[in-house]
Amino acid sequence: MLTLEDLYKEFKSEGKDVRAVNHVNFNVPEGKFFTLLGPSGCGKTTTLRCIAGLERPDSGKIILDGKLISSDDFFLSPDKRNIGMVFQSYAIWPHMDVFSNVAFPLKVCKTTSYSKAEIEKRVKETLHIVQLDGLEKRPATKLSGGQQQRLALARALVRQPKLLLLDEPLSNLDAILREDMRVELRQMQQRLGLTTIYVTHDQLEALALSDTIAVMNGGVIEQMGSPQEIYQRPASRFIAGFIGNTNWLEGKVKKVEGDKVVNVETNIGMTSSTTGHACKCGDNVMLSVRPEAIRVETVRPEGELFCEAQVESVMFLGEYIDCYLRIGEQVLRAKTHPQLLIKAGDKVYVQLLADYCVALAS
Amino acid sequence: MKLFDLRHLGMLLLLVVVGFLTVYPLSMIVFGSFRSAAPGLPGHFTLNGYITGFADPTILKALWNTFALGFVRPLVTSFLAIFFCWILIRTDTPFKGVLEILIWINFFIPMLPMTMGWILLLDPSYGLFNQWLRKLPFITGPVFNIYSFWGIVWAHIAFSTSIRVLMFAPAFRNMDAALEDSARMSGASNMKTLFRITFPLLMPAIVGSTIFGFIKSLESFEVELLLGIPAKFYVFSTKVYDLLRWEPPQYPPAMALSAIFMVITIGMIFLNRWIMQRRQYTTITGKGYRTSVIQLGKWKYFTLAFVVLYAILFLVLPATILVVGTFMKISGMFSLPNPYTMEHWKAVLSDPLFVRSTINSLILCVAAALIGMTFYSFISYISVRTKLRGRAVLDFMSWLPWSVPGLLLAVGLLWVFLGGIPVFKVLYGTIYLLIIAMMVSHLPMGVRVMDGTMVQINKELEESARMSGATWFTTFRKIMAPLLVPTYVSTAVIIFLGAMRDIAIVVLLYSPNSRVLSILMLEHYIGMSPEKGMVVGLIITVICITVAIIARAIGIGVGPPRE
Repeated sequence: MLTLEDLYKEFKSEGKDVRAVNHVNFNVPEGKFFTLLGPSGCGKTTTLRCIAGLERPDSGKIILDGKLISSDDFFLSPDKRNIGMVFQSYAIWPHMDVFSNVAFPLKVCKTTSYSKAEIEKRVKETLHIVQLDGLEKRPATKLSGGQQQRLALARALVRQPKLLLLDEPLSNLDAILREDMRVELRQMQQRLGLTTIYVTHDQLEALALSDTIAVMNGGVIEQMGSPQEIYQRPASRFIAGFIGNTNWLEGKVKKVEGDKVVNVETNIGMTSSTTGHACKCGDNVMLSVRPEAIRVETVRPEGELFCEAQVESVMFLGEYIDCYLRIGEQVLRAKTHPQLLIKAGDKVYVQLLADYCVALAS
Repeated sequence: MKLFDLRHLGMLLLLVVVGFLTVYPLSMIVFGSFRSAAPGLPGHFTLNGYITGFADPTILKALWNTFALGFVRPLVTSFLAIFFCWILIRTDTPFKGVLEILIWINFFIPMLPMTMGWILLLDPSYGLFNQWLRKLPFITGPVFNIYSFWGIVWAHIAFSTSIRVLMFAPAFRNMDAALEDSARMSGASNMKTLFRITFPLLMPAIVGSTIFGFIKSLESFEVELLLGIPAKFYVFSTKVYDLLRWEPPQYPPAMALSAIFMVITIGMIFLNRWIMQRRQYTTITGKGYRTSVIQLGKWKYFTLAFVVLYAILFLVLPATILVVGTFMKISGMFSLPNPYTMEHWKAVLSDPLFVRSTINSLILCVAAALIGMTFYSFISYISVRTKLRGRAVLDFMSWLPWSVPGLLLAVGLLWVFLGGIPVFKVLYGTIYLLIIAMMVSHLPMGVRVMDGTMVQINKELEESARMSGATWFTTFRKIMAPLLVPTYVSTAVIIFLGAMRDIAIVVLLYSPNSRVLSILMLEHYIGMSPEKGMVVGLIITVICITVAIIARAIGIGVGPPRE
């Protein structure tokens, strides 16, 4: 549905050139939810705006539904692209009511002329999709944050575009609303089968919503894959640290078993681990150990490999226990189930679950 | 920017037009100062203007007077304004709404009619105050003389104070009460807090607007005309006017004086901008602040009384005497057998000149307001919302008219239209020239105000319209324009009122065909019939107040902001 070929855009900022989008390539199949994830300034919003036509790339091609919309010598202006977009601030027009906001794209459409009845029908349908029925006459300024967001969505959908762009649409909502909207958004997208590109810095959102995540850093896509792949097999230290929490252990590869498993000697002992890249014996690696990949027991289990640790601090978070465990010079952050009765100063036994550890190039 | 397309062509055109309106007149002032003859007449280049200018002691005296006034007047009025702001915004003085209106209303009242009222009260020979005081046994001569330096300062107080209250109020309003509260908690009394915390925090805003006030006070004309000339007290603006009213008009020294003046004020503008940029304004910023009022106890009746007395003295008194004066045979002469009459009113209203002038005034004010605001909005949009090259130049040029007092701008335009490109000569003496002059004069304010509003409109409101399929033009029409209308209208009203009152700009550019009400008022007053001048002045005042009241009533944002 959407293909980006070698997209490049730079800005001048305080005299220096900033490579905001540095030769980005990807392809989004029809009906898929694709997320650009990364920290502020990584180029994800600029990439999105290039797709929208609000920024003009310096070079590279953008092809939407088989038609070229942007290249070195051709640029289709944003009003002709028929792409739906939801802005971070929602950009609801304050001087119009709900109906007029949603009807606007139909009224200004240059390619099709909609009759009044047709407009009304479509607006009502779209408002129903986003669950804003009955609010047509309400002034746009009199809506809550969540309602404004739905309104922005309705406006983006009313022309039944082939592509939907969302620029951090949930960041202005409070935590509970954000979770609810996340579910709704995903369900709606799947129901409509709408190709969607989502931009966010929130890795939780990215993991929850996406079919494919592209992690961007410094204008470049560092890794692209399904949420599971990104989370469990991060390709770099940046990605491992950016997505979820992780512990870092320095180590040396002692044995390689196949191309996926290695034995690593760390400062807390030998452990097995998966690997994200090709290693050989003697390589220095950094082991990324997710907090939930650490098994913590108060009694040493029989016959299995565990090492001793001392509890430094414990935080009870309802769903799980967040604790810091010290093994010699190393402190590990672990997540355990809430029934574990430990307190600061206790002695516990720790095992690293190999399947969830990743060895990355040092 | 690769393409040489319609947008860049349009930008170029805009730069040329704005440059014609700003840079051209100003450079003509400098040009004219080196010429030996009047604009349009054949002459040669010479330094005569400067030589005669600086040899003439009256000219140097005029410059000195101008700066003296420019220093004292803002000082006095700033002091008053700060006090009023403090009373209205930071204390629990009762009836604040009414007090605010009483202070503000002076902004809408033209200064010349009020000055006429002051003359009736404080003229040394027949001013009413002097007459009454002479009845006391120990008073032999006139106590007050309005025709003096302090008389001029006095006549300016009402108008200038109300403007300064407008300038200082936002700083007072935005002060975070926590800053003062922490001073109180640390042990400082109310007074100590006021002087050691409140005032220093407000200094940036006060200093910035004082320099600006200084520059603006330099352009004052009509009050100095009425009160200064009888005492041979000249300021820059009245001196230039005087020189140009000689037979033959003394252009060289007038132009030299103007050029020097322009350089000084441009220098002050840069100084002002430099000072403003260096200051840190972070103490008076928005998030999460709370304002609280100081409880004055029984002192609040003193502050109330102070403001009321101020209003009576500076508003009610001169206004009343002016109204009464228009109904008198000879205004101020209560000793006549039958002092009251309607004859002056009848004479004015039945005069075809009056009707003509009123029509001209209305044309001038409406055209300047509407054409002006549309033009300024356009400039502002290009400056704020586009990335076209040349925006910085456009912005710089739009500041220029502020560096030049109204009279001086008129002089520059005289040279542009009489002595410049011949095709423009046809506009001389017409109302169109007046409209152009008004538009140039208000350019800086109009563009700045529009900038302020445009910046507040989130760019995403336009972008979402584009994504929804609207072209640039449709987006402007349906999204930007409705959001800009409130500012457009309120600023248009301000321009309307400014144009209605203005004398300094029109006095050099008008002709019998384009005479406006303010000029008619001046002609009557300085000519043979001061009473008729007062009538016209009162009519102008009533028009201004009515427009202001109607605008406010229908929700246009003029006057004090509603809380």
